[in-house]
Amino acid sequence: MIFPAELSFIARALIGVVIASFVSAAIGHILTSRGITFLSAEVAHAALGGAAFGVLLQTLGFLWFDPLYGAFLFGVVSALITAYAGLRGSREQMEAAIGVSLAMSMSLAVVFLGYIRSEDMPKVWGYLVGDILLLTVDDLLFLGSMAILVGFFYILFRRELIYIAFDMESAEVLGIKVKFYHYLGILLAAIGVIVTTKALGAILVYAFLIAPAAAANEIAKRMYQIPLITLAIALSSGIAGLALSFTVNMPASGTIGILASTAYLVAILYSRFRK
Amino acid sequence: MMKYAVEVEDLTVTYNNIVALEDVNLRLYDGEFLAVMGPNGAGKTTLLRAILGMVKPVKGKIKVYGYNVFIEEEKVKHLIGYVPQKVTLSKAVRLTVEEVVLMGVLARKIPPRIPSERDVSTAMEALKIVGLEELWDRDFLELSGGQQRRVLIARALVSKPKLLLLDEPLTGIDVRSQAEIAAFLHELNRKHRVSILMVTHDINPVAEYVDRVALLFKKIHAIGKPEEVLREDVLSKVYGGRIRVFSYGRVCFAIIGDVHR
Ligand SMILES: Nc1ncnc2c1ncn2[C@@H]1O[C@H](COP(=O)(O)OP(=O)(O)OP(=O)(O)O)[C@@H](O)[C@H]1O
Ligand SMILES: [Mg+2]
Repeated sequence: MIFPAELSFIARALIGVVIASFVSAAIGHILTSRGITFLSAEVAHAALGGAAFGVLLQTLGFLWFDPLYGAFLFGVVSALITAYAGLRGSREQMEAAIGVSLAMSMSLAVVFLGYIRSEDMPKVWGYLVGDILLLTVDDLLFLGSMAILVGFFYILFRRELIYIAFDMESAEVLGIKVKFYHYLGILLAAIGVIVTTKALGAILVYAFLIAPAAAANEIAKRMYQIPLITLAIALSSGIAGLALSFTVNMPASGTIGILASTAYLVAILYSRFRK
Repeated sequence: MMKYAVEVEDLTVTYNNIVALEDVNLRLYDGEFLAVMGPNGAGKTTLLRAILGMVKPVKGKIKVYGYNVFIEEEKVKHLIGYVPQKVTLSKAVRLTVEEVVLMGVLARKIPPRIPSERDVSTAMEALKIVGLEELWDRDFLELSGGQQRRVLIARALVSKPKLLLLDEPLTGIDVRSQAEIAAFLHELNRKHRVSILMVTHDINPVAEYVDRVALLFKKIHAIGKPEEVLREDVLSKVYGGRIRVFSYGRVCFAIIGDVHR
């Protein structure tokens, strides 16, 4: 065991925030450069619907089916549908697919929730507003290994992912396997989003995955600086948010979301006044 | 030694039943400089995209240096430098001029494609050729249209391709830079034996350098030495009757539409 099981909930929350920050650095860069930041909201809500589905299955007796499996299943499928719609690189087509998938997942979630016993509801709410303070050591191990997976592929293939974002046709002419990287990028994003949804909740995924990268895009002068600045912003708003929530007793994920979004506003002001 | 850089045989391409190219036969010799002319919608861009293996024909074969472009896609792409007519660039990705040119080098490496010092100097050399080395640090999207075009030419050159496919590369470029780029293409063609297939509406900047000119309108209507093709009777086959050609010795051809006296 890397972590002692009796790790305090504060330490677990802190580790959860650090994991999510690394995910944010990778995924934020992919999604902002593709111009499909709302994919994060789509996948997060699909994960919510999937978690509700998982809870429902458990009440029906399938106890082995962790709601997290449902979150992964729904999140990944909805992301792949969007990827398929945008195979030609058209952001407009992807945008429509994102909207439709989002509507679909929310509808499914509402339907599933109708069948869930009220005592099971908190398991689903965790995916909506986040349960960073309830993360278990097993959760952390799982989230951490997923984050390492995402980070590894991002570091290895970030140029390809940026090239196809810049201009898909030129990338293809240069001999880059455009289709493969298109799917890979969206799949990585989906996994990262689902991981973050588990920790921070669907509502705050956008604030934590997109706002730091959007802020970094405003500040960075070079491409390679973007993930580093994103990481710095995500880490500081995550840790400061946790600290603040303990001292003034505010909900943790909400506080983190406010700080991350504020960082974006500050970055915009900074980049306007620098010019 | 391969005799042909490009062999196009009975190529027919349609888009939703609209015929863009019909039974096109074309051979580009290794080391040749060929200009392709033709009116808007003639299928010039389609021809280049077919040579790159990016549009699937309903009929016909295409080989680049002996490789079937639809089977050995990757090999073919690594032999070709391509400057597209128009690019739809994402505003969300901010790359410097240097990074855009480096794409041409790094695409040939394996992931994670880290640029070496040599790659960077190769990129800078290519930028020097198009006269933009001072702008290496600038945001690509903040350049003027003509400057962007020159950067894209540099990106196509940087990997030292054996075949250059250029789709109206000089459109929107000022006269002096046109002449410089044309002279450079000539040097590349003669000294380094790069085969060039260049689509252009304006033959003037390259008239003295090209080996042959092809006239395309769905089919190849004429192909031959510039003085054989750039004649009023030949050109009027695809451009209609109102075309006039003025030539100054063997050097310069001017082609204009309607002449009022
Ligand atoms: N993606 C496409 N979908 C449908 N039709 C297309 C597509 N691309 C080209 N066409 C059609 O094929 C024909 C040839 O187009 P192409 O772009 O090859 O012409 P071109 O000779 O390059 O013209 P221009 O001088 O304007 O660049 C045109 O009639 C055009 O409308
Ligand atoms: Mg064209």
